[in-house]
Amino acid sequence: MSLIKHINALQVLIPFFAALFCTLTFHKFTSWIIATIAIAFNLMIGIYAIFALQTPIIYFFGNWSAPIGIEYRLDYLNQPIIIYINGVLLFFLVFGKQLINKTITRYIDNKKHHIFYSLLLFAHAGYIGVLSTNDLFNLYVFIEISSLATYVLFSKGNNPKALIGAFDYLIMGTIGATLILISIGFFFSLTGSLNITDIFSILKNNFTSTEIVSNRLNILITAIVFFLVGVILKMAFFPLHFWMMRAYSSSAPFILTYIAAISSLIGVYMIMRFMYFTIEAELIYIPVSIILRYMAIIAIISCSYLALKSQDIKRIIIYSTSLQIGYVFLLLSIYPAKSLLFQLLIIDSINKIGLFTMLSHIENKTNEFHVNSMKQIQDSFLFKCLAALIILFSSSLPITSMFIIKIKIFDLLIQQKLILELIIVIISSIFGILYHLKFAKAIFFSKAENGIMKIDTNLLGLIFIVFIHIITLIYMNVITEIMGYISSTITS
Amino acid sequence: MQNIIYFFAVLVLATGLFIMLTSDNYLRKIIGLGVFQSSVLLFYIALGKMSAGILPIDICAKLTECPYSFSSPLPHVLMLTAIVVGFSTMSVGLALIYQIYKEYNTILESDINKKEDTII
Repeated sequence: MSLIKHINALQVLIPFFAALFCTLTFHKFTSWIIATIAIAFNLMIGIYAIFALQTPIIYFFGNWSAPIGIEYRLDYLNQPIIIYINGVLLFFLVFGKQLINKTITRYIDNKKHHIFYSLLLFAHAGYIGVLSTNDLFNLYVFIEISSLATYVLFSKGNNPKALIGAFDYLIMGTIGATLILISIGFFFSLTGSLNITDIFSILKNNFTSTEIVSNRLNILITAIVFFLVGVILKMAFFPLHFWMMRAYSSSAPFILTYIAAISSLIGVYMIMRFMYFTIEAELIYIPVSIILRYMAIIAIISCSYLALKSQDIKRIIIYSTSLQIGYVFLLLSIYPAKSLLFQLLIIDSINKIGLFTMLSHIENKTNEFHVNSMKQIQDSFLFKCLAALIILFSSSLPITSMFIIKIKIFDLLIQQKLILELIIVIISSIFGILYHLKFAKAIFFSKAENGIMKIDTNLLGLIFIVFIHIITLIYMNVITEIMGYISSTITS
Repeated sequence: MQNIIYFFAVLVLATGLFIMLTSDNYLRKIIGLGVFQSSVLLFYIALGKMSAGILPIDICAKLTECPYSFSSPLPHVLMLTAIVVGFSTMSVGLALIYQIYKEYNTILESDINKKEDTII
């Protein structure tokens, strides 16, 4: 079949061309239809590709083979993530149509509604491009495509502060992307190649011999530092997360269900691909892992403390987003934790989608997110039930999938004899339960004198997320097996 | 002395970063962004140049017996893309500044922070 030959390119080009068509429609509903059909089709060919994926699928643009031409490469590391982000966008479009209309496009000029869907698809094409390319410069171009669309998506909301947040994001994101570009230049000067597989083999041949040219090693270390700082700044990981607070807390929460769930996943993917393919593992892995581990410890302590201290429920969720990144770094710095890392990423991302969707149902009715002056929710029994379940699943209390993962993390840390880390993770888990308690108190037990609101929006999305939570909980062992299989194929 | 160009590239990079992080006016921040991005152009193009290299044009009959060495054309091509990316980033930034001006009637960061405080 001839389709399978072009799957790598099609997965990027379908959202890209759908975005162009959306711009040309000048009609809100038509562009929604185009976007939904395109993403559903993309999801289908993604699933088709993973069953055809015995060996990595390699695609050369214009038949120019690898070190010269641009290569797209699908393997077990990126194809599951591609399927997952297609699924998230499909969820966002299908179940969130009413919320998109009520909380985002209401603040856009009537004639420009179709542009929103077009930007969404451009950002999506950029993300899939970052995931599937095997060429470093192409990676930079796709990072910029996705972020240019994301800056504009952030700038829309009921609060004019969103513009300031988007501008901050533009400045910081461009600094990050430029640092990545400089790092790519260093790699190019070292190896004369831009293809990741090619760079990996050249570095392996030149740097594993006993006599290491110290001058060249310095350049390699500089390149690695530039890349890591760039990605950490771009994806708002802990020490450089300050811009994320402003950008996220002022933009519409419903757009965050898509962006917050995906951008950290992409950042972790970029660091992982970089660490396992570009850096020669034994040479650099140990110092990098020590740096990451200390960053993770500081991130876990400070973010859980700040989340507990925060008085705004939107900020609590955003701090908990950056707290999870601390856990991700901790697992990234421990070598045998790769399968656990994927489980944590997926479960956490589903949690965040649930929380932000719930928040946007509330945002539709009120702009007040302070813990003590929240309006009371009345007459919406189903919403209260679903919100309670979502907070329960997110809080990592027993009988939730997050709890199982936490237990596995404890087990792993004890096995690795990392006692300090173990104590910190236990403390932060307790903090986590406490700030979820605060969150639940603000939503369910607010006073009637602050005002009353009634949630009357379509709750199908929340029902779907709770359903997904229950499925992941029941089939946790199957997920563990699949992740174990995937991570074993990556290392081999 | 042949590496002095990289020193200048770093100088331009630091200047751009300084302008971006210290200025109060949003337009100046965007100008700083432009300076910051052009340092990368300098860095890449310097990478492609060899001291005795000529333009990469096919002037020899046989490549193995060619007396000349050539500069690499690839960094120039890459920078063409980077210029376009920088241009589009700058346009989005200017559009955002225009929207900020319409919303707040000022583009000074300190004024906007003051206004935000009074609103809250």
